[in-house]
Amino acid sequence: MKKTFFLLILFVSVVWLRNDVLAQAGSATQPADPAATCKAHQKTAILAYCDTLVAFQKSVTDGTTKTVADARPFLNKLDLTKPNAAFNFITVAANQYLLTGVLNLAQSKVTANTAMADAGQARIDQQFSAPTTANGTTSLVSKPGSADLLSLALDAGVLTRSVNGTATTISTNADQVFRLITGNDPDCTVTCKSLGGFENRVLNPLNVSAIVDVSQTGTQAVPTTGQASGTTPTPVSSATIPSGAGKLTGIVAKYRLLNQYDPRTDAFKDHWKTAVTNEARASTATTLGNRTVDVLNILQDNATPLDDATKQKMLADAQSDPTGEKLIQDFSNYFSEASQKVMQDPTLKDKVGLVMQSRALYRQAWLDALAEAAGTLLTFEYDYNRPVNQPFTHDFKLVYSYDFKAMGMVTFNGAYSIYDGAIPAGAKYGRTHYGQISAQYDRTVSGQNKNLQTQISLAGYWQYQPEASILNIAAGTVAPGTNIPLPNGTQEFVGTAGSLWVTQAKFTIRGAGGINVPIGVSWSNKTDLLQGSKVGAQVGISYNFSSLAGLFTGLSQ
Amino acid sequence: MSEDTADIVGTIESNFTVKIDSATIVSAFLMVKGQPDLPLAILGNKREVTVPDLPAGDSTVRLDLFWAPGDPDATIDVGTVNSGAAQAIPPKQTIDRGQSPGFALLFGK
Repeated sequence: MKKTFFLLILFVSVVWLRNDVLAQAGSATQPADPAATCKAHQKTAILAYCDTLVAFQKSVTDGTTKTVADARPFLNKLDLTKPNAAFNFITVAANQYLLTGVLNLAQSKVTANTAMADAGQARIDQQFSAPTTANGTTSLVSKPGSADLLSLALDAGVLTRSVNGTATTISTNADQVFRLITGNDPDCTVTCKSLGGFENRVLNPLNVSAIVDVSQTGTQAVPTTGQASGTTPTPVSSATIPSGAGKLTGIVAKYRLLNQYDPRTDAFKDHWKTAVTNEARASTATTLGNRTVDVLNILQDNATPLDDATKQKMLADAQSDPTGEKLIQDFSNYFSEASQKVMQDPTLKDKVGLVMQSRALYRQAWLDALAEAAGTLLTFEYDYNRPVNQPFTHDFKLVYSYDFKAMGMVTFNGAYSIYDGAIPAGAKYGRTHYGQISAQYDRTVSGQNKNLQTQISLAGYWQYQPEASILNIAAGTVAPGTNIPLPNGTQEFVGTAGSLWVTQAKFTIRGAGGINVPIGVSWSNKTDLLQGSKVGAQVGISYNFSSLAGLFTGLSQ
Repeated sequence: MSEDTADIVGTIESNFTVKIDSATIVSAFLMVKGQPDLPLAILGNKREVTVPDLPAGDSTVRLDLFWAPGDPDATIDVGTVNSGAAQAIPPKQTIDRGQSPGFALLFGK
């Protein structure tokens, strides 16, 4: 597992470095390319307007644009008093406020992220707690969704295990981690630099979680150096010592499999139109438009328009320098001068901040629309479990949900679990650990569309295990009633083979800002190590953090 | 703004549609300086809005958009002219992929 993790990190690093090296190589071998010329600039204002500047230069170079009138579509996107220049201006202004540490914008970003968390509260397809088999969990059935950005959950109580514990689960989206590690537009909202298919098909649908059992200490086997007391010599070659508080007991990877994800098909286009014209989503676009117009009004009142002389100079410079450098300099000079008075407007910071908040919500609405249009059919989940004193296991799970909207959501799980590593010689068990099927019904019972919501969940779980559970006997353990040490690697069957039934009723309070408090009661006919029925209780708290990058840039809560 | 920089020029009080060939319009408004924004009717294909009465001088159509994966830049054009005259001035203006809102500059004369 560690090896796989390091390989993944290596792969990410290679992709990152390759992009960097290729970009540099490209700029060195193709200096006449206006796109390379533009992207070589460090000024945010130039980078934000690169697409327009490059298109302008190319159009002049290929002879399509010969006059100022021909250049109108480009000039209208560069003139700060024109509406189509406002979008990029807001991006530039937001970046400048961030770089200069303007508090108001930081607060706006926090507001944006909190608003995203609030918007996500209406979703009942997300799971923040550890999976069913953890020593501390409130989830009997896995849900198809997980944290959009980052979540932290603390759960106490067990469902299928005998040993009660408290687990902390940290979940995040792979795309967020990738953007943070590579520095590729890590705090983006709607204008994320897309990595194309790799991002859309690999990173975005992938969520990863780490489960740490905080009631267990990490242990380490160390060699002993001799008997310290006792009258009879007892050969003990190694002993287990604690190595730290909290133990990583599991890693979960969830990949959302989307149905009909082909934007070229008519079916997808129809689904897309239906999804985006949904009233709530449409209103995010309208709000974004209203707030953009608020900034546009400041621009039109304060910015200097592109005058005829500047337009002529830009055109002439584009004609004389096909690299685009002169055109870029002309625009840079214009932007610096034209934006000076605008940036002094005392209301601009807050209005730009509000646009950024709207862009965050708009992006979330876009992602939700995409999921709805494509149809979330299945989620594949992989769990790597590292239970204490038991063999490690790999669980492969398919999660299917059907949303009846106001009538709630039904989720089905089917899972197969196998033992990790080599099966010991002479083992009386096979590779199979267990198979299970389960189902859950969730419904928001009060507070729909409000900050405080309540949700009820009813779940049933059946697991079939061909052999009893296996317990690893720790090195140095002495056989009861004797002083005979058991050989290293000894395993014993505990509990019984066969069916394990669990039912659970759960009530979840979903508060403002992304806080969830699930409280559940369960009944099971047995647990993994003990015979006899058990009634248990589970309680947890989870928090949907704001942007992952924000945690490291000091802009988060 | 002026006729020189307008994307669409038409006769005062003309009735026509403004259309785009990419993205989905979810709301649209006619903006005239000093007047409240006028919501515009979106036609069935979600890529066309009706300007019922072109004002004199400068005005702007604001289009709130959602871009589907793979949508290219949208070109602004005049669809159906129901009364009066209106035409998109070449070269036609585009809205960059991913941007919302997008704007079309109108001029009535």
